[in-house]
Amino acid sequence: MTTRANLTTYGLWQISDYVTQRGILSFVVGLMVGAPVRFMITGIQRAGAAPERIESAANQLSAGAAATLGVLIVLLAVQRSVSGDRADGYYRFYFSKPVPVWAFYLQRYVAFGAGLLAMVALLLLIGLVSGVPLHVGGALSYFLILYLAFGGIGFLCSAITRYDWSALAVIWFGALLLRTMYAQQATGWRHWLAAVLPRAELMDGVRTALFDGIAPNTYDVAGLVGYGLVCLVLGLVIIQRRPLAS
Amino acid sequence: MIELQSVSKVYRSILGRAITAVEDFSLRVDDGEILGVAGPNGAGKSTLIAMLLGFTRPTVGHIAIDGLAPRRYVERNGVGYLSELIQIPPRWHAEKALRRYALLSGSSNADAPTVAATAIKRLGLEEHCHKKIKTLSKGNLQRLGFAQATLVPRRVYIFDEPTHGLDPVWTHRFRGVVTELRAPDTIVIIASHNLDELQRLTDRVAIIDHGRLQRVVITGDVPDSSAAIVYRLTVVEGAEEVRTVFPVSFDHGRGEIEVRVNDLPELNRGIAELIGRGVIMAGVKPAESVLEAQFRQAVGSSARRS
Repeated sequence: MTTRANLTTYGLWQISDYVTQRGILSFVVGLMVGAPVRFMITGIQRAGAAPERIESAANQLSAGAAATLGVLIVLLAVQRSVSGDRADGYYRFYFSKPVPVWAFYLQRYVAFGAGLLAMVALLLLIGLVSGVPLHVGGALSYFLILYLAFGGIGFLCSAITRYDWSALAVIWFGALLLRTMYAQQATGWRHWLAAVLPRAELMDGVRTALFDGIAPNTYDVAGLVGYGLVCLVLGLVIIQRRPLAS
Repeated sequence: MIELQSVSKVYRSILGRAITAVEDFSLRVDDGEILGVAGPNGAGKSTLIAMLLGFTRPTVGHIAIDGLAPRRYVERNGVGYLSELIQIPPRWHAEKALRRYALLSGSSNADAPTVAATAIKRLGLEEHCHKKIKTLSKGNLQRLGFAQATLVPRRVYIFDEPTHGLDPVWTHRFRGVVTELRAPDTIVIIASHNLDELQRLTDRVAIIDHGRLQRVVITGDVPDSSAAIVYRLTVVEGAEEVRTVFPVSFDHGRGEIEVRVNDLPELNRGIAELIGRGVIMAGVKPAESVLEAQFRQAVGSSARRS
């Protein structure tokens, strides 16, 4: 009597979990971060600036807001996505069912990503309707790349520790700080650390390009996304091999 | 069939301190059997169950369910599992929680509402099905936990403290449900502190203490007729006569009197004499079941050894 969980259909519940537990909060944060951008652009428009000047300012301001918002909402999406079930004991009922543990969490990662992109699309739509000139495709691509890169590392952190959000912040911002301070001149242990940590500083260039409506450097995108995907796969291996009960 | 061979589980702290939760545990549970697991707090029952579900692996030894490693078996077939603590996200609604678990149990999207509704009806949760988990009482939460464990038929069921928090009516209903689960190809494992419950429901009870299997008691066994035993008499009229017939006795009041006899023939002779003297009796039963006596001995001897 072999049975399999109806995991694909369960994915709809996982998207609903994202919306109710994380998406609404992310949406509110998005509005709070986006509203000042709208006001500043209105100010520029009222000052009678040329359309090209307005568009350029909108791209810069939106990219700046997206930098803050992106990190926040991806952090919100992945924090406790694995570790929470262990800490709260929810894994007991999930995984007494015929469910491969790795598949359950991979699907949750995908579902949360889909929910995040839908929520960002809604925010962008509000921006467009309110008159902010935006490259919607570029902006969505940025959030997708950020989710795959930053979110993949977050997923690995969540598979390892219940202090996942702080671990993710330390890794991402530690990488940024290390590369800002030492650029290419890091030596000794700093060199090795820089080699292991993600190329977080590349995200700025990718974001600027996408918000300007131009194609970002392919190698930079591949490096960022590849790092995130490697972390995701490592996280899945750990999830499958590590005992669920501590 | 479930087989545990020389299973040990040692937890190690970051500082390297070792705690042995289960030690050299061997047992075989055959198809069609209802096995009880009893032991004092911290005896190793929860660790044993975690290993049976593949939530953790033995440090030493081997566990197989139908020849498969537990996690592999669970991922293929699922197990009807009720944990000691019912942990379901508090914002979920009871009925929706069951629909989710039904999907994870293998029900189709179309069948899941029916499967959930059947479980809700069986466990009498109709008036609570639209409530949030966080608003449910301990007893209702326990019934919900039991509902998710029995959503779909399984070959293996594991219930950890299943009647904890249930009122007498639902404790009785639980017994009925477990009896219905008994089938030639089904294994039910019940871990409980409630020895009376295990005596009523199970075929055998594994008594664990200090992580070791102390003994396995067959619940259908009758007391050894040649050993000194304590019986409880329920006397409606003539209680004062009991002491004259059974010199070693203790009156608990309300007609409940415990008597100590050397063997069953002595008990029968005494009862005959009491009846002959006009004493009216409503009942005679052992003061403790075979299981209770075995548990007391096993846990006592284990405590002395440690």
